[in-house]
Amino acid sequence: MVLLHGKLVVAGDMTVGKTAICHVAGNDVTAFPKSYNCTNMADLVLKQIRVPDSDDTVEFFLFDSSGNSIYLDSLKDAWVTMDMYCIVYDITDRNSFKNCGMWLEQLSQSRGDHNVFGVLVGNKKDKENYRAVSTQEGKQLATSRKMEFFECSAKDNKGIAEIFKHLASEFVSRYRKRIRTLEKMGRETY
Amino acid sequence: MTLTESNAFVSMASSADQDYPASNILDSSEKVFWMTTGLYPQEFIITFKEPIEFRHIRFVTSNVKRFVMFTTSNQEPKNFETIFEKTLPNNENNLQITDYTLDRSIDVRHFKCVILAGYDSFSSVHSLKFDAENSRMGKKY
Ligand SMILES: Nc1nc2c(ncn2[C@@H]2O[C@H](COP(=O)(O)OP(=O)(O)OP(=O)(O)O)[C@@H](O)[C@H]2O)c(=O)[nH]1
Ligand SMILES: [Mg+2]
Repeated sequence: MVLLHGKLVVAGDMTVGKTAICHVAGNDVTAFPKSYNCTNMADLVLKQIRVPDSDDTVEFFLFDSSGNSIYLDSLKDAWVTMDMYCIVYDITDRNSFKNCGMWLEQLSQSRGDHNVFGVLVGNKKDKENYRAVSTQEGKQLATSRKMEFFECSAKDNKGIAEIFKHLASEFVSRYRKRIRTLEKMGRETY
Repeated sequence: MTLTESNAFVSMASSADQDYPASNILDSSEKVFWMTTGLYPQEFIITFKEPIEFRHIRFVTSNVKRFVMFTTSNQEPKNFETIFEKTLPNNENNLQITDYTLDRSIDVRHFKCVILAGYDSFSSVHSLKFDAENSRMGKKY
């Protein structure tokens, strides 16, 4: 049983639903922002997520970054200490998908020395009739960049829990893996 | 049995995994360790029931990027003074061993170490030893 703490950077174009995802995470359906308030620079949201089938919990410090590029330089300074990232696009907005490569590039430039990992998320799945990016395309991009892929709707609270369960269990398994490495080192040295 | 084990205890630690507790820092074996459980800075305080005097420190860690050490001779753990600050190279699959000798011996009631940054989400502290003098004849604490 362990309680871990991790900083998760959420990035992507404006209005794709980053703030909405951060707020409904942890099953807070009522926290969905119905009207749009653009994020200035960044907001910090705290969410505790239990890892499925275990007593382990991860407390996420969600670093909800603005999609406005005027903040990019300051954001990159604050991203240095991230443990994980989540790149979000809007499945009805082709441009937001095209920009994922740019966001990924910015994130990897500032990731510091940490061993980070991330997920790609296509949001607004409830607007299926307006879909402009196929699930297949999303998957392909994620696979080519070694990220897990998810589609979700922050509005309907569909698919959000899966994203956070994945991030939490991956974070815990990295922790356990590090411990196994250290214990093995101890056995081999003495 | 060194004096450290009977006289010193960890009075504060910012991470608490019950299987890898901060008390492992004072255990003389490097096989047992304290795990930090995410985010920096991380810190711990070691308190001596009887104040000790030391000059030499040996600090064994993994994944630590930068740390600062402080001490105080106050009864209470406050008014700490910086004694040592260092950036370590990344030594991913080996332990980082830091030996440091102070200009002179100092009297210490509380010792504080702050890990400012790491090379990974999780770092570990395997042991911390204090010596009175920087010589093999020195009295071990
Ligand atoms: N239909 C639908 N609308 C959503 C969904 N998620 C968010 N929205 C709406 O999209 C708008 C923008 O959402 P935000 O979460 O503020 O967007 P953001 O990515 O944080 O934008 P910036 O902070 O400007 O970068 C809001 O009006 C939300 O109500 C969703 O899953 N479905
Ligand atoms: Mg926002």
